[in-house]
Amino acid sequence: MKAKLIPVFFASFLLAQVAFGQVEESPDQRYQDLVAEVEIANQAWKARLAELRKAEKKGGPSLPADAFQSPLIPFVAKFDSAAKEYADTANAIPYLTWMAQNALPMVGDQRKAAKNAVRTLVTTHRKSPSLEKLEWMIGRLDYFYDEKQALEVGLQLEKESPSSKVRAYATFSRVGATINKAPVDSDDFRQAKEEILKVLEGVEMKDLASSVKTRIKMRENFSLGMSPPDIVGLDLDGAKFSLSDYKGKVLFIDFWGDW
Amino acid sequence: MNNRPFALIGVNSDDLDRAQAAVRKNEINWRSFQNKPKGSESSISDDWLLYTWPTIVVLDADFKVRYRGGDCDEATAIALRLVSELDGKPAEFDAQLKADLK
Repeated sequence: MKAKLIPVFFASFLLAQVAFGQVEESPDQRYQDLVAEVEIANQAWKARLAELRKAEKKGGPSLPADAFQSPLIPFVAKFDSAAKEYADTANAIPYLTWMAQNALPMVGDQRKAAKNAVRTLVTTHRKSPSLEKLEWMIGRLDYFYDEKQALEVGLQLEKESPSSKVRAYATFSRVGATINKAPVDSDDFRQAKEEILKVLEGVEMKDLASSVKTRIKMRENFSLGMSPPDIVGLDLDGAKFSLSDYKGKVLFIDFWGDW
Repeated sequence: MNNRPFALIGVNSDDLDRAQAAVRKNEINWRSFQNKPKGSESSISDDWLLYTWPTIVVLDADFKVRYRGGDCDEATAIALRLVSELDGKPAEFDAQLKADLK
């Protein structure tokens, strides 16, 4: 009987030590616990919003201003503080990634913290394969840096990241502006197009590839000074119509909807 | 803008019933199409590589794109200038058309 009680006693002793902060949680466990807390807060927020909406539908008060405020806001400081504790070690990566993925759409200090998190990830942790999770953030380094720094950071990623996806996003960050803005008949445009298409050939990145190819097609086929395909068919009244019949007039074409 | 070399065309992204109702409700008096009529394989916006709504495209008399984007004032100014270059009359929009475009 006594022998059976020993492990139970030992486990309770350990739990008590964790509870009183005498045994530190592992960084991974700490991260999991924090994410679980976020999930609980998220569920509570959704439930409150549903209740408020229900009450409003029944003629109760209209939704308060804070009803849509993200429940994640108070957590940004917690993730930030953990990331700072683990600074310069790989243990900081999940915390920084969480901030980048969740706090960027926020405002003020939270957004600032998220931008800093991205900057830390793409420099200090540039060799981590988990940078893949940042996706478009690496493809738009100009959002986090001035032009010169964005170029430097991107080139370093292209050279040193072990992930072909990260390298492709970094290449896009470098040549994306040229693809978007340079004249389609310029050498800069041709070179940027060749470079990004070559990089995309070797990686499984359907979203980036399709968005880049569409963009190139759009620039090449539908830039200012080019003619779009004709519109032929029936108008809303059922009458036959061909847009090219209006050739010789200035056409103001409004793509609209009833929203 | 009557009697001037100008036409306003709408491309509507709703289904036919809703588009026709919107034309009646908003008293829209310009010619409009459905962006993707029932049964057609692709939409006009896909063919024209447009991905945001609302979007305005201004074509000159040679059917070439002179503006594409969402800024109604800029599009209007460009269209006015082109019309004026074509017929040599002052670049003035009539008040009704300006109101329709808002």
